[in-house]
Amino acid sequence: MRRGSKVGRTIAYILLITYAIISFGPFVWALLVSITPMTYEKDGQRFGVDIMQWPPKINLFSWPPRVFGAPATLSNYRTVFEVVPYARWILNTVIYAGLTTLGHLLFDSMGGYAFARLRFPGKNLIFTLFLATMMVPAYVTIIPVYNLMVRYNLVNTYAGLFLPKLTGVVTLFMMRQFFLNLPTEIEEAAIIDGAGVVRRFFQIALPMAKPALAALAIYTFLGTWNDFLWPLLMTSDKSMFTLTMGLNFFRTSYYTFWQLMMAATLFMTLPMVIVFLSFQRYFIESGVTSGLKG
Amino acid sequence: MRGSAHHLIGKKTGILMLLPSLVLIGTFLVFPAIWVLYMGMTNETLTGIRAANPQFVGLQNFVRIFKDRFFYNALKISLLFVFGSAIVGQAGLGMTLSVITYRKSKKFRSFVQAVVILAWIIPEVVVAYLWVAFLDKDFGTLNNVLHWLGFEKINWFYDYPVLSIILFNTWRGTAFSMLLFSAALETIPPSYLEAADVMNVSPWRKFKDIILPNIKSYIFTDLILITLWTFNVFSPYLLTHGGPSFKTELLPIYIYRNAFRYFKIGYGSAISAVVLGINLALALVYLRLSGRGARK
Repeated sequence: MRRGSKVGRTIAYILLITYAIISFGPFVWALLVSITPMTYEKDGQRFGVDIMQWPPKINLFSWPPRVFGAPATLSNYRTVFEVVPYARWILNTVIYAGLTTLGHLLFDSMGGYAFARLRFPGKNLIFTLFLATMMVPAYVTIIPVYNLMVRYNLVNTYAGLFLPKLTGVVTLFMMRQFFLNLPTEIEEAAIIDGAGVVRRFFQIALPMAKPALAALAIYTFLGTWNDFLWPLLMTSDKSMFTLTMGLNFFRTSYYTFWQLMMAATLFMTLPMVIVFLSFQRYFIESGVTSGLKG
Repeated sequence: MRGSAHHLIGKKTGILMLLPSLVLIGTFLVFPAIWVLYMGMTNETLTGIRAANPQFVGLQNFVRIFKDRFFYNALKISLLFVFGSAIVGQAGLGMTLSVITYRKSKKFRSFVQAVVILAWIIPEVVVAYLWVAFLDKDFGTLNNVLHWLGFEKINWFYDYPVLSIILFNTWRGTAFSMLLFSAALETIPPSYLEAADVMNVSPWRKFKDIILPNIKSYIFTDLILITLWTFNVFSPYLLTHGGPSFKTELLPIYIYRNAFRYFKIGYGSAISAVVLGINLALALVYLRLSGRGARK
C-alpha cells in the first residue's frame, strides 16, 4: 500500500525482518557448525567442542577464526568423504534427480503439446479424467507402487527410484497451459514450408517454451534432489542411498555428529541455492504464472 | 483456443506423443489408486506367509478403521494441520507478504521472494534437523534466547507439538502461495488502484474491494492445491516421528506406521483408500465453491 499508515508499515518491516532471520539463521548456524572441529588441543590437552554453548564464543575476525571456542577448520568437509561413501551418494542423487528431470522435460512437454494442439472427439473426456488424477495424493498410491517394485525386483536399483517419477500430472498440465497460450502462426507457416510435426515440435515449439522448460527443470530437479520418502522405501543398501538418506547416517541413537552432518548438509544445499539464484527469474515468472490461472 | 489448431498435429502423432505420459501415469498412479482398494480388502503383510499368499477378507479392514481411535486421532490432527499451516499459515502469510511487496521496487520484491523461497529449496531433511536444533528444550537457540531475555524455557515439541509442526510447515511452504498471489496481483489493472489512491481510500478498503475480488479465482486455485499438498506432507515425521504419544501423527504418518513399521500392508492400503475418498470429497467441495465464486 503506497500510503499505508506508519504503524502498518512498521509491522510489515518487523514481519519481514523476523522472516529473514528465521530463513537465514539456520543457514548461518549450519555454516558455523560445519567449520567447527570435533575436538581441539590446548596446552597439550584435548577438548571436545560444545556446539550448543550459549552465548556462542565466535570470533570471525581473528586468525584462524574461532567458532564455539575452537579454531575453525575445513577438515569436516574432507572427513565426510572418508567416513561414508559420500561420493557414491552424490552420484546416486545426481542420477536420480537428473533422469527424473530429463523424463519430465521430454514427456511433459510432448504430452502437454499434444493436449494443447490435438483435436479429436473425446479429448476433453480424457483430459478431465487426466485432471482428476491430480486429486490422488502420492502417498495413497505408495503401497501398491512399492509392491510393484518388489515384485519386479527393482528395490535398490536406479530404475526403482526414477521410473515412477518420470512424468507428473501437475507439470504436464502446466506445459499444456503454456503451449495453449503460444501463438500458432509460426507453426502454421512452417507447415507451408513442409516441416513435419517432429521438426515443428523440436525446432519451433520447444525453443519458444524455453522459460517454461527452465522452470519445469528447476522445479523437478529440486523436488527429486530433496525427496526423502521414496528413497527411504526404495533403498536399503548403503551403496544405493541418496544424499537425503545419507544424512541420517550421522545421527545414531546415542550421538549426533553435528559437525559432519552440517558439512554434508551444506554440500547438498549449496548447489541448489546456486541453481536457484541463477534462475530465480524463470522460477518466479513462468513457474507460477504460466500454468495456474484460476 | 485458436480455431486453426486442428491441422497442426495429426491424430496418430498426437496420440503417440501422449502415449509415454499416459502409460506412466496409468501404471504408477491410476492403476495403484484402484489397486489400493483391492489390497485394502486383503490381509497382506510385508513379510511372512501372508506376504506371498494374502487372503481376501472383504470389508473387515474398513470396519476396523472406523473403530480405530488412532484413525480419528490422525484425521483430527491432519485437519488441524491443514487448516493451521496451509489455509491460515501459508495462504495468509503468502497473501500478507505479496500485498506488502506489491507496487514496491522490483529489487525489494525479489529480495523478499528469495528469502521466502530459500525455505522451500533447502532439503526438508536438513530443515528438520535445523528446526530440531532451533527448538530443542535445553540446547535450542530459541529457548536460549528466551532464557537470555528472562523467560522460562519451553519444551516446544512436548508441550506444543501440533503448533510446532504447523509453524514448521508454514515457514517451509509459504513460497508457493506468495508467488502465486504476487503473480495474481500483477493481473490487476494499475489504474484501479491509482484511482483509489487519488480518492484516498483506506488500505483495508483497497484490499477488500479492489484486490480480493480481482484475484478470487487465484485464491481458489491456491487453496485447493495447498490443501491437497498439505494432506500429503510427510516431513513432520522427521521432526517428531509422530510423537509424543501420537500427538503429531498425521494421516500419511499413520499409513506409514501401519504399512511399513507394523508391516500391515492390507490395513495400510485400506486406510489409503479411505484417505483417497476424503481427498476427492474435499476437491469436489472446493470445485463447487470455486464454480459458485466464478459465477458471482
